[in-house]
Amino acid sequence: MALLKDIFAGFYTTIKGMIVTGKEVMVPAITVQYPYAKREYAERMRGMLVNDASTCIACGRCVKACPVLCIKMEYEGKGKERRPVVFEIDYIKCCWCSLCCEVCPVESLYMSHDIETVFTDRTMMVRDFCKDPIPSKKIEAPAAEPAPVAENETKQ
Amino acid sequence: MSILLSWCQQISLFNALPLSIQYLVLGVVCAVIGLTMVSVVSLIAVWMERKISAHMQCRVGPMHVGWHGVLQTLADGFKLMLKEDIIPAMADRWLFILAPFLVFSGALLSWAVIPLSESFVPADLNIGVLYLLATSSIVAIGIIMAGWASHNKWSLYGAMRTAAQFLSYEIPTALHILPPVLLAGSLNLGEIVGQQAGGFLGVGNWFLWNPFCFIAFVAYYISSLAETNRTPFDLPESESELVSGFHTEYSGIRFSFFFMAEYADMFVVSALGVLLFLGGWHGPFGGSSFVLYFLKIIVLMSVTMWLRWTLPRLRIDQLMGVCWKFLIPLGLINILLASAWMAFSQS
Amino acid sequence: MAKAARPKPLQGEPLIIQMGPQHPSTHGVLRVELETDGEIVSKATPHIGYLHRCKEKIGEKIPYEQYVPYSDRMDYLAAINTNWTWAMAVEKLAGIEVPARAEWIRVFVGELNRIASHLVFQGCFGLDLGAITPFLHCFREREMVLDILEELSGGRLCFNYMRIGGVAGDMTPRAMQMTQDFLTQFRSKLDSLNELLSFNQIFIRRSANIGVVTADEAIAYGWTGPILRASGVDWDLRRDEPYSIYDQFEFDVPVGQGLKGQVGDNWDRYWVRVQEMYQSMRILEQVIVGFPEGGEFKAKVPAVIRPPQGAEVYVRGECPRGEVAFYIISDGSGTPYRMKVRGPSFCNISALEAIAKDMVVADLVSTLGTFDLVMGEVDR
Repeated sequence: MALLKDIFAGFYTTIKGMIVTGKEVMVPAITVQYPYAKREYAERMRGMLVNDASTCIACGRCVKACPVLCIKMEYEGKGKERRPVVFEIDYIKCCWCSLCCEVCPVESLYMSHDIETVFTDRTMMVRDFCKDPIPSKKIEAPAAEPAPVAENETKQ
Repeated sequence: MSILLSWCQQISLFNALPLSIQYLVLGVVCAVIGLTMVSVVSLIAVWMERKISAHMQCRVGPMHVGWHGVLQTLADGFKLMLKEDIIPAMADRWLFILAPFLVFSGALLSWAVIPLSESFVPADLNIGVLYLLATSSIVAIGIIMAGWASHNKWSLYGAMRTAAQFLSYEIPTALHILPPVLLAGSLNLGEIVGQQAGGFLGVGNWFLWNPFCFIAFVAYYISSLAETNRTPFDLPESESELVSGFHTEYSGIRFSFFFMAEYADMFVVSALGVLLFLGGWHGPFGGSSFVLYFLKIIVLMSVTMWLRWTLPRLRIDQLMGVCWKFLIPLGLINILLASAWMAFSQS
Repeated sequence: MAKAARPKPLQGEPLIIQMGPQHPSTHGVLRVELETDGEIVSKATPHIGYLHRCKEKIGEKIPYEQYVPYSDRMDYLAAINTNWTWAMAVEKLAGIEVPARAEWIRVFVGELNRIASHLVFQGCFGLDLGAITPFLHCFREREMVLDILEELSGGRLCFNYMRIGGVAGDMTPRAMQMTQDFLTQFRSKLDSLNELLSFNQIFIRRSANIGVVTADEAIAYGWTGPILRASGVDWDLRRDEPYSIYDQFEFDVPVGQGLKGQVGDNWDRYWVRVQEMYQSMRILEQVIVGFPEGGEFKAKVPAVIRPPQGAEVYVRGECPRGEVAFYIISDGSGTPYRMKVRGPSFCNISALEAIAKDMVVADLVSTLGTFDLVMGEVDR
């Protein structure tokens, strides 16, 4: 008897489940066809860590704040003239924690929304932002500070 | 085949060959045609499965190759063909190579007696139903062979489960096929279908409406799920427990044969269900077309897929319990009552 | 191989089979050595350590605030709850006062992450039993939670949201709105999931009366969290030793009642977690109603935290998997002198050997599923 009860409960719940999955067919898909369409990212989304070397003041706080020691920086100049000459981020080590961005006083180091970075080689995963700079997002800003930096760089 | 033979014998060059060679040539030709059809049907079935599962899971499934990904399976097939052929070092080489073909040929053999329309029957056997039951057992041998030859403990588990499951479920399948056979008084599939023509709205004579046959249909459907390794009875290849059961070690073209055999088998059992219970190619209002027949098969296959993407799977002892404690006694009682009813109504 | 095949007398010996470290249902890199007789397991020995990353030793080498991303990677399905416990431990050690607004945000994200983690469990347990569709439905719901958490923290798995003395970013109105939308939809979706999976007869048959653990055994094994409650022990840190601001909320603690079988079976362990999601929704509703206006979201803390010398704390937090705890001794410098992590999964898995005896392989898989293991936390 217990078996029969089981079997009938099995049929009943199966049909109930089939109704649920059947209804689901009518619901439009929530997936995004990735290369053709992209989902919206949140503003705080943490993509690739990049540094705008032209505004960086080489204070070295990010180097100290990094829990995985992925930032390597060398600088020249003193005081306000201090500029990085080597600013390497090792993406093999980077854990996308954004602790470095929080301590950055000039917001030159930030997490971009770029997630489509593919490396074909381990050696490519270390990027020097002084030799291979990113387009500065502060160019449109009317601030006069970036301009003398560029002059400084050309003089050296 | 006899029609084909008489056609070909009109060609003088062909007629000059000895009869045995003529049969051989035609046999090969027919096998190639059959193989192509099985492949095409399983390609479509795989596509259907992928689409149905995708839409149940709020996805869209394959979209890129062809219209809504129709050709995706074909592309996957090509990919599998081009892959490296791996035979594990400790495997029993010949059995390992043979097993997928045996499984596939089991599915292919069943196709010989399945009528594809009213007039086109590859082999019009008068014991078609028996032949189907016999050939579907070959699949079990192939699967056990694959599991044994892989030299993998998970595969062996899958094979042992298959042995238990297939041998048990042969019995209820056979028992529940009997009521319509009893009603029709024939083992020839064409004749069984022929007796289901006409009636109320053209569907009234379907054997499904007979109470005994209705029970038999439901039970046959359940045991056919087990025969074709479908959820909730997909124990031989249960991927969460046995990695992937008997075909764990298979890859490339050999794997694709297992894959195709599963869908070919599914087509055969669905076709048998349609032929025995759902009036074959007879549709409503006296209509009769192979389109209707294929439509019914597709509906039956879709329900199978629907079930698969809804249910969890049973445990091996529960599976056996359903078979031996429920389906087989039910089948025996059902046959007894059906024959009593027949004897009563005829006298 | 085949040479000199001498016929031996027929004898049976147990089949030893390695489940893992690459196996679809060991949830990571757990290896279970099974001694089986046919399909019946006579002995199951879990082997751990495939994901050991020296988290405790690393903790002694780096400053307190930099350990937060490391705690993410311990229990990666409930990163926020682990973060939170670490932050609480350091705050207690250094005597830092957390602003009220930060506590509200912490409860908010903590409960959201609890829902996300339990959804993964629910889906994966269905997957262990062969039901694939519920898994994807659970993940669809989880995506909505992750969207909210992404809005707040910027991450989707390793959130790194907690900071010593507060949280990384302030609450946004958009996140609040998204949560309201989520809560209105989620209850009915959870109900339909129950219909699809929880009350399916096959599912009940596969999970009820299997892997029964009594309350005494559960306590003896040091179990915590949902699987302890499923065995009938009414113990929840959030209610019994309220930390943060949990004493301000009203919620029930679901306890295993043996609805479909015995108390403490697999179905109970599953059902307790489903019930907990309903309770988390209740807490979230209360958070949305009572969320404070204005205030700091992070306390002022020194750049380098230096707790007093010789201070030591043991702080527990209720994670979706059980009680995660940090034991820290300070030597007055910027890094801990010694730290120890208590991972709930590590204690929970210790019972596997006793439970697995005389079980079918398929049931062992599902029992392992109900433990809701995260190997990152077992091995640390």
